[in-house]
Amino acid sequence: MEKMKVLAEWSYEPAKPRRGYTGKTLKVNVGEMTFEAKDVSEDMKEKFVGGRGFDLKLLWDSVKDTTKWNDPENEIVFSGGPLCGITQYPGTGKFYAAFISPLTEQTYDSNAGGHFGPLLKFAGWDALEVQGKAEKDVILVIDSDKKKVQILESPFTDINAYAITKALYEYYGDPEDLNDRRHISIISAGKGAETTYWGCMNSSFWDTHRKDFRLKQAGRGGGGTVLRDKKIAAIVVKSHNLSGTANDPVDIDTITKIGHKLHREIFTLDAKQCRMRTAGTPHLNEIMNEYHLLPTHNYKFGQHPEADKIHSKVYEKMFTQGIPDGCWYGCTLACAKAVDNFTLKTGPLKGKVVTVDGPEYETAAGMGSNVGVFDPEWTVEVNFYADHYGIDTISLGTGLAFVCECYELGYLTKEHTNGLELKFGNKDDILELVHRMGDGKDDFAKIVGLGVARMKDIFAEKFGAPRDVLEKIGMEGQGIEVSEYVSKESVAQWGGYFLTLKGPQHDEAWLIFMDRVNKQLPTFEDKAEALHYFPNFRLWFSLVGLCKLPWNDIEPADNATKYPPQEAAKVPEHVQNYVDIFNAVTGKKITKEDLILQSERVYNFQRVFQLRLGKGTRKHHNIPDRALGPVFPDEWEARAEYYDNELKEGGVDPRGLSTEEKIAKLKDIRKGQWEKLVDTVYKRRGWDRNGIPTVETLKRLGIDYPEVVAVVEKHAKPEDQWKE
Amino acid sequence: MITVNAEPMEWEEGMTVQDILERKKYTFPLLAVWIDDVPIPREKFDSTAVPDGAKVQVIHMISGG
Repeated sequence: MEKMKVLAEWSYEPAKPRRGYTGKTLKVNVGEMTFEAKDVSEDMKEKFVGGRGFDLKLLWDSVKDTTKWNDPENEIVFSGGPLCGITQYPGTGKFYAAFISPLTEQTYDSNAGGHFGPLLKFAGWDALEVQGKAEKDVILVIDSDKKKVQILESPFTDINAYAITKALYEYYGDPEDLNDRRHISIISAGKGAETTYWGCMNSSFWDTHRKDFRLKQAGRGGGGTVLRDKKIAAIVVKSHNLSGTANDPVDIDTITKIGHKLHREIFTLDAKQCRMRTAGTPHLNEIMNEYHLLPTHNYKFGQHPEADKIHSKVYEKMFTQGIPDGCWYGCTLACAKAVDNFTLKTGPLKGKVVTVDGPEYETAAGMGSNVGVFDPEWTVEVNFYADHYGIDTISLGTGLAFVCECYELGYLTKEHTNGLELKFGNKDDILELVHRMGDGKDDFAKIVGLGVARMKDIFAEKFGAPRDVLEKIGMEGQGIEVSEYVSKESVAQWGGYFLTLKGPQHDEAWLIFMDRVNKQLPTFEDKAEALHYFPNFRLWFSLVGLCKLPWNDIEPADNATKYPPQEAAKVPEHVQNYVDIFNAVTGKKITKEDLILQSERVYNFQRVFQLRLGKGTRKHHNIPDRALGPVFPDEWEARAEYYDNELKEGGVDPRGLSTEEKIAKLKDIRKGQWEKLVDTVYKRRGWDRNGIPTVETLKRLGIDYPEVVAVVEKHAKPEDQWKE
Repeated sequence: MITVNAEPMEWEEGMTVQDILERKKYTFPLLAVWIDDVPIPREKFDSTAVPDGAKVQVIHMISGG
């Protein structure tokens, strides 16, 4: 391949990490072709910690109140965090990216494993801001070996993920030493990210065992769409500054000791617990089905008779076993499963033999049961092409499930779909629609790729579909599609999905077992407490560069007997591990309470950020009827005994009522419960009735910066304040 | 009669923790069980008898995502 043309270049001296931080962030404007290094202040470390906290702070400083997702000043900000890149403890290779989302029109943050986060830091940068819009496709390269940052003209005609990643590994990699490619990581999207709002960012790592690259996805929120809007075809980071102590921790012995303990736990217990090392997250497939939580036919049902066909044992056989599948060094949980030697049966790469990353549970459910397909081979094929085209498989699954239901209800016909019969389970036509989304020419595929919220408008306004039904069955909140769990039987999970910072993604809280099965959250105050603790605890992973899975997808043998039930659910020993590792890296002395405080600061800062962008109030915490309960009679009848009981508990005698009447009565009850949940949660979080953090809350958290307080004061109204 | 997660269940002579899990179709691998606030080790689910009138808590450790 010929040398790529350099459009702009900048030299720098890579700062070495000290106690988890390099102390420098990099800003690149691909439109103006400018480069800037910024210092990280002590206040920034104290208040925003790193990762998503740094992302949001830098984004806040760079955008206006009126900035839209496709304005040049919108940014994608990448950051790992102070613990990112250590190699002694599992799950330490994550980066978090924040941007204004095309789907939600407010800030979104998304994350991925792989080597990008650690290599970015070892290349000298605690964060990377990418701003501006290039005139034509460019490649951004950060090379700490050559001490250069470059913007190159992209010569690639195929910018789909597998194609461009392969080409860039060949361009930058040493042909004589394939293993040297582990020092390179590449961010890419794909053609599908250009014409849909579901664009994901693929993050690569070199798999030294397969001698090939792998792709992990920062899937949600449309980050890939923003990347392509900026005409960035790929971002390459290259650094040889990698070692077990490259993060310069203050106390490596403690980290090593804690890491050894968790490694032993994983080796001893994983096979009896979640089988992450052999089945990965699809171990959840049959569990979700058994507990009526597996989304089936656009969340109508939580269970399906054919679910055995997507049992984790089926996937376990498809995944290559015996290869360490960690996506960063030291991750013995090794859940980054892959299907090797897979022959593609359709699409532009038909007949090609490939390695497919995944599917993860969310993909297995979204592009499986939710669209009525129970064929793992098909799901693996869709998974490959979605990644290749740069499309988020979760939004894709939920979006296509909505399309299928609209088709079956007669709201869509072949005239609308350009000949496709998009019924549940019609896998050939559903896959053809995915290819059309990747191709970007089909007008119906373009409509679908705008997401459920906009499909509702278009189907109602242009296709004449009944708006009220679309609102009930369109599974989105704040503009983004619900991830792959049925929430209609858990009041607390309504909050876990719909009282969130950025929409119904399950990264804030997954409370269905605690609430519905364990009955540990009987009162609204209990639910609100869980909706305070868990979102804040889980947000912390995004501040420091960690993966959530080693927290509670493995647990110490005595966790269940050593602690009372409420505490056991928090996995206290692992929480202490995180506190100890944070202190051992940074030299600080935080406690587990400080950990929650660190998160709460960023949680509330992001909430105010949404407000600043014209969102972030009560009306933006929308919830569709189907998330609250059954919409159609067949949904009720599938769980008649359960729902009849729910009516009785709500003081309604179901005898003599038609199913439609029962649905209406239960809806009334649940709407009331929802409003009560919203009030209780807002109060617990220190927000007013309208969901706005109070100035007192900002002061308590120490984030009462004048510009933050000004946003709150601009929007808060006296009538929305609580009267004790 | 016993209660399992605050719901009544008929008690039977010789009933074990494992019997309760099977009857309730609790198949999640990360389960913790308390009988009258006393924790039961997982390896003893098969052999631990549940007395009549017991308060049984079956806790599914949070997972997902």
